[in-house]
Amino acid sequence: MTSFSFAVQSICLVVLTALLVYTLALMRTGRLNAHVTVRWVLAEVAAIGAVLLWGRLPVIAYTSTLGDRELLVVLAVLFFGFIAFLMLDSLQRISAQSAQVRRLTQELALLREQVGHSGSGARTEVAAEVGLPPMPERTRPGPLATVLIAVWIIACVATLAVESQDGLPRWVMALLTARYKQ
Amino acid sequence: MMRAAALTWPVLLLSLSSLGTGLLCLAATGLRARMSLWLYAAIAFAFGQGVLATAFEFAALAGWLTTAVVATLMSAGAVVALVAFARTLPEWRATVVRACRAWLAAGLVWKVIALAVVLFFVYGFSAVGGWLIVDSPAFYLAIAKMVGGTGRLTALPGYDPFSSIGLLAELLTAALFRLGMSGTDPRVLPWVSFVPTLALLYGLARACGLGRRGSVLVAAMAVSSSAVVMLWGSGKTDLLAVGPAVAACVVMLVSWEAPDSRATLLVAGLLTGFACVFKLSYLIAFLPVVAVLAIWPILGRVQLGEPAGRRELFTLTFRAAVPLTIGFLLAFAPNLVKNHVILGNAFASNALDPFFSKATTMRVVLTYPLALTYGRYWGEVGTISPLVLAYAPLALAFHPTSGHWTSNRIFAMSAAAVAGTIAWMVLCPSALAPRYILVTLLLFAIPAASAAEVLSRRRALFSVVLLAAVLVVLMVTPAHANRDYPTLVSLTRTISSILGPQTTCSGSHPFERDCVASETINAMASPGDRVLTLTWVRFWLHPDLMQAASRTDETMPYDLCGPTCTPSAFWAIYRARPVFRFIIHDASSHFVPPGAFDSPPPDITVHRLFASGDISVYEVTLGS
Repeated sequence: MTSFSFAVQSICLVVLTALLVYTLALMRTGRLNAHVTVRWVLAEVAAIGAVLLWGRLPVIAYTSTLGDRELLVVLAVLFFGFIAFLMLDSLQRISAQSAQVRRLTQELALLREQVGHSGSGARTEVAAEVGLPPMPERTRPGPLATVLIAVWIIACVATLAVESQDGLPRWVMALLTARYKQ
Repeated sequence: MMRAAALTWPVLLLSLSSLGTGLLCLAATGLRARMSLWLYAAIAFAFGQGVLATAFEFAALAGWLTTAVVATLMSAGAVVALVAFARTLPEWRATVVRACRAWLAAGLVWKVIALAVVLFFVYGFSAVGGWLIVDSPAFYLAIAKMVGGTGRLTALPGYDPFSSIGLLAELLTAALFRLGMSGTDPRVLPWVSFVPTLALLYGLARACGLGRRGSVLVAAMAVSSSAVVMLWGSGKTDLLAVGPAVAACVVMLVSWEAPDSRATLLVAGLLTGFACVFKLSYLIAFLPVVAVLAIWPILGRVQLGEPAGRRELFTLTFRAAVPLTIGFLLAFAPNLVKNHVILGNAFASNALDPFFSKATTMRVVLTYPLALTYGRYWGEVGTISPLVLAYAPLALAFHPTSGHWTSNRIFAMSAAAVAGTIAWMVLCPSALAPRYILVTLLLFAIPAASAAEVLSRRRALFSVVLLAAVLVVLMVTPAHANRDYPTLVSLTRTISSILGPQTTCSGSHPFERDCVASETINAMASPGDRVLTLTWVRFWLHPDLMQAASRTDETMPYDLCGPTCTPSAFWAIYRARPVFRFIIHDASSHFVPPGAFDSPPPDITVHRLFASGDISVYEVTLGS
């Protein structure tokens, strides 16, 4: 083995070992699922084994017959296939979990509805403070209702402003005023 | 600086003491585990005020309301409060951090509304510099000054039957006088006590399921009610009943969740009792509220088919009613003891005369929401915020929904408020005064704020309308409260007048003449002298003179003499009981035959000591 290939082999081993340690650390800290970790660990151990057995694998004898460009294409295709497999595996797990979360959310909403408690954003805050669940809001006023409600609110407030300035019509004031024993 | 300290420390000590006493009393109830710290502290404050005032009441009945007794009781409570605060400091810090985060996360509209409410409440302190309402120098502040000055609780001469009302707030005021507060300074107490009351209203809204927005709106509706504003600094004490009453509602809601709610219901009963003693009219307007809130969870269980039969239903009702009733009676009984001691009749009462004729009363009843919001009736003293009228009806259409009506707390609170209001309308239809049923009316702010919150979440337009409505109402409320006399004045002028040089009659407007007249008597009176008070106002008389002033049965003959009274008839009444050296007369409220004082009978000598406007003071000597 030449000194150049020994140096490349050493660098590959260090990088792959660091990757293996990082994968195990992710699993221990709970950031990576154990099932996913097993696949990655197997892949990394396989890679380390390949690097260690560099010169003894039959594929090396085959690759040594290939030209530079052909070798590059073969490596790129193998690398893409490997990464694509891991990504598809992860995406499959994410999809399964999304479906599970959706189903649980629907079940939770149905349960809340059954026990008669409510669930709006407002009452989520309340749950933390006074231990009560919130309420969903359903009604949304239409355009005509919106105008009528706005007019009603403005009229209520404006009446106070006018009344404070003695601006209400005399008959209205007569309706809202009386002296003692009158 | 000395003046600021003299004004601040008795109120601060009383507040700390109320908090500490409440914390001590509630420690064994397990309430703390069921709610957040700030809400628990607000409930403890209201509870402590009731307990402390009751302790003062018993001390005053025994004639022991001395500075030593007041200072000892208050210091003990204050120490408990400080120790409790030190032990829960990390929790308070976390609460503040949570509040700050909520503030930062809130939208601009809600930040503006919350800030406007806080600033308006701070501005409300200027009510302490506004005019006094005649009832306060006539009775509420007067009896407090008399009890504080003499250390003994007796009926206020001239208001003997009226002294049968609950006097807890007056005893807290008396304690402030005992600690050295002078003039009308203790009238700051209702404003200070309204801080925890606002927290309780906010907490009640949260417990009903409203979000932070809706809960802030409940506070906005409370502070923009001129019925609240006009009581902050007028010397009347009606506002002190709101705190225990709202606390009782919060505790009732907590009892719905409690697995063993006997202790919780007992606390709710005690708070209800305190509220009713603070304001006797709550017996009519607030007891139905508590009854509805007590029955509500039982209705929920009936709806779920839990009680198997009538017997089980009766047992459930009985279990709820017993601790509630015991608590209520424990808090209310001291008022009966007080009446027995000072009036000789535990069940003495002061009948409420109808304010208006039958036709006017019918009009009031038919226009009740309008009359409560925009009315200018005699004796109304403020109205409810128009925001309540604007949004409460909308709650019928825009409310948070739930599985069943029995689990909807907003609906429960609305039903309770309706029950209380209807009870008042049926039993006292002509007594249109929001202060008599203030807490019941403020409960309508819960569905109103809920509707406003729901609407503002549904359409952005309603957020803008809501912001404009709140800001306009807060700007108009001072003018509304000031329409009959100045209630809210300049804040800087109020502070400078409070902290500036004081005279005996500082803060007495519009009763400066009554003050000077009373001071004239105070300066000349000797021990044993008595005053015939032909006036409503007596606050500025020396406490000893107030205690020895003419009783109701002694002034009654003068009142009965009426407009047809002649000078000779007037002096005949005097001669029948010639025990008064001084006569203070207000011509605007009490009739005295013309010339009676100018040309008395030969055996009677009358010296005019003071005369200004309608107020006069005479020294009378009966010849042998």
